[in-house]
Amino acid sequence: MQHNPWEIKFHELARQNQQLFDPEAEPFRIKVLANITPLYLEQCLEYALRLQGVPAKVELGNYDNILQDSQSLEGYKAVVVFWEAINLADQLEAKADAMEQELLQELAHQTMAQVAMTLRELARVPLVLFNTFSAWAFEPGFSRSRVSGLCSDLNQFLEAKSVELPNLRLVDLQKVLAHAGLAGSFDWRGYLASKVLYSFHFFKRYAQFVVPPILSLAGKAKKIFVFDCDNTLWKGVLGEDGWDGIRMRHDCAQGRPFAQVQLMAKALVKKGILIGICSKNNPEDVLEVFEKHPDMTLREEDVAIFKVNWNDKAANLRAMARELNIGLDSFVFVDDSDFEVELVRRELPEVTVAQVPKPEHHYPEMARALLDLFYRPWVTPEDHNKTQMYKAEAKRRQVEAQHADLDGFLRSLDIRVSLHDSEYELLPRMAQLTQKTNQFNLTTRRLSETEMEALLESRQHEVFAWHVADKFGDSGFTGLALIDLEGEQPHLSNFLMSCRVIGRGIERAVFDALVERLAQDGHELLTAEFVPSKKNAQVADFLPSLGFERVEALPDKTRYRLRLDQYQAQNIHHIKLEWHGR
Amino acid sequence: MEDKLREIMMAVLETSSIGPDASPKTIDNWDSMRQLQLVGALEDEFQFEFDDQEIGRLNSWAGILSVLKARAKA
Repeated sequence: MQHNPWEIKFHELARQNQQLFDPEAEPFRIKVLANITPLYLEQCLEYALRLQGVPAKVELGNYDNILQDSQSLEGYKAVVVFWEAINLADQLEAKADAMEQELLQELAHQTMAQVAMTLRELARVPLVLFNTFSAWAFEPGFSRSRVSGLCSDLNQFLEAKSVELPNLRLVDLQKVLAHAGLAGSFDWRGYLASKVLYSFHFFKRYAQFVVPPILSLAGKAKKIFVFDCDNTLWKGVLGEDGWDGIRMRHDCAQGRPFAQVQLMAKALVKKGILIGICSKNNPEDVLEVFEKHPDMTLREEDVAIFKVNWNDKAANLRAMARELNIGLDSFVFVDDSDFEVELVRRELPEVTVAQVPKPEHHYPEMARALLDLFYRPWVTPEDHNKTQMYKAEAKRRQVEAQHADLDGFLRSLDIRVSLHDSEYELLPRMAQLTQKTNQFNLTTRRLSETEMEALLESRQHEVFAWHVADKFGDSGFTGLALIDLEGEQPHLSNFLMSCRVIGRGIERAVFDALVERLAQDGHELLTAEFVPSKKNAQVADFLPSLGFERVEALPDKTRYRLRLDQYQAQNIHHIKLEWHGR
Repeated sequence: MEDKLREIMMAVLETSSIGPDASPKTIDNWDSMRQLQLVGALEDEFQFEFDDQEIGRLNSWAGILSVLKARAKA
């Protein structure tokens, strides 16, 4: 059994949280706004995120000062709001049922107005996690207090707001309470003496509950779910039980858990999550099942990569990571065998590994629990086609291997790039690119949709995105350049490309077009910088290779500049580049 | 008991040492929030709930130790 990092007392969590603190990393700052005293939230949330490699720094705002505190949140990545019904008025839990109905109505309207103002102030914060209102703290039984009705009204109001505001995510507080259990969730001495309300036990649950959207914002959501086959996608062993012996049918009790897991995998494909197959079997046999077996839900076209062979699974997962150009820390792997699970856990600690539970009726439940790891706030057109895009990429690599020289291969691809200038329709995808791209990324500056929109609104920035296609298919919008026009010189504040389209000279073709455009606009210089991260070493020489001269090397970044009239055009002849809409 | 208490106080108050004179006056981090966390951590560790009179005495190393010792005897 693996050690559960949440079976832990508060002082142990506090100590481990201090040990997980990385003084080198740029802190991922989160502000908590609350009308109660969220006593253990700071350490619990930091601990939950630091365990996942996010260098979180959580800071509490002043007690019951939400609106004022929401006005000065520059530099924070996320805000967590505890706006508790119990403290909308002093001791509301005791007074509400004796209150005049009009007074309660007035309280509801006043609260909505304050919430609306607060959300307006928070518009620039990339992620706002707002707890839904609940009266469960003081409603232990069948009876409903009048505060319940108030909470329903407020929650309807919040739901409507969350449709309007892309940065607002509601945290279903009652779901958290159900997970934690009502009995251990409240600290009544703390509440009556210091408005504490929630126990350490509650905050442990709460912190785990809100991790997915924050991980997604930090670019750490998982990207690929890899399945073994025998007793993982179906009941039985293909090599022994044969085509007719394996079970994954919905209408058979043995097969049903596996049918359900296949359906979950299919739904993930639609959201842009990749599915991989890693199995010790004869490859032709497995492929035939995916192509032709009538009981299969998951099909060949749903799978981005197959590694069906007799190699060890750690080696196969490494090969998948290499071929798809995805970090192993983006992998979730599930298998039924103790041996394989142990091997992968030992060899590849970055990979999240799960084992098919016994008895197997627990399997769908376990798989559902893993879905949170893949959480992403929005789905873009690129996500729908992602599996096809990765498969086209695999075909390209095969053709590349057949060509003797790289130039001949690149010419044969017939690459077309369409460059788009500051388009609002592309906001979700542009934000997503900044959040998910790690390797070809000059500054790793992550932007939410809201921040991206603010850049466009400001008219002081130009945001270029490009769409890539070739004869094998469409790669979608896969590159982004941000130019900041606020200073004396234009400044390239980021330049990034999805790893799916690197190595084809696209970045150089795009740069020719950008330089031409800036020169036409009358600029003479372009400044830029490279900010090293753990993953972006491949772009360390990108700027000098384009003729940028180094201005200053600082510990955390290197500054460059380019005299536009001295720029040597890269003239990438195998790429056809067009400005969209011109 | 003293070792356990020292361990808890060092973790909760984020300080590298706890001496016999430890109190909110000598430890910067020991503010009202940490005080509440400290009380919670001690109750969690020793599995009982302090009464109001005891809580009033939990504001220094010496005070906490005397409350815990009285509890251990009772």
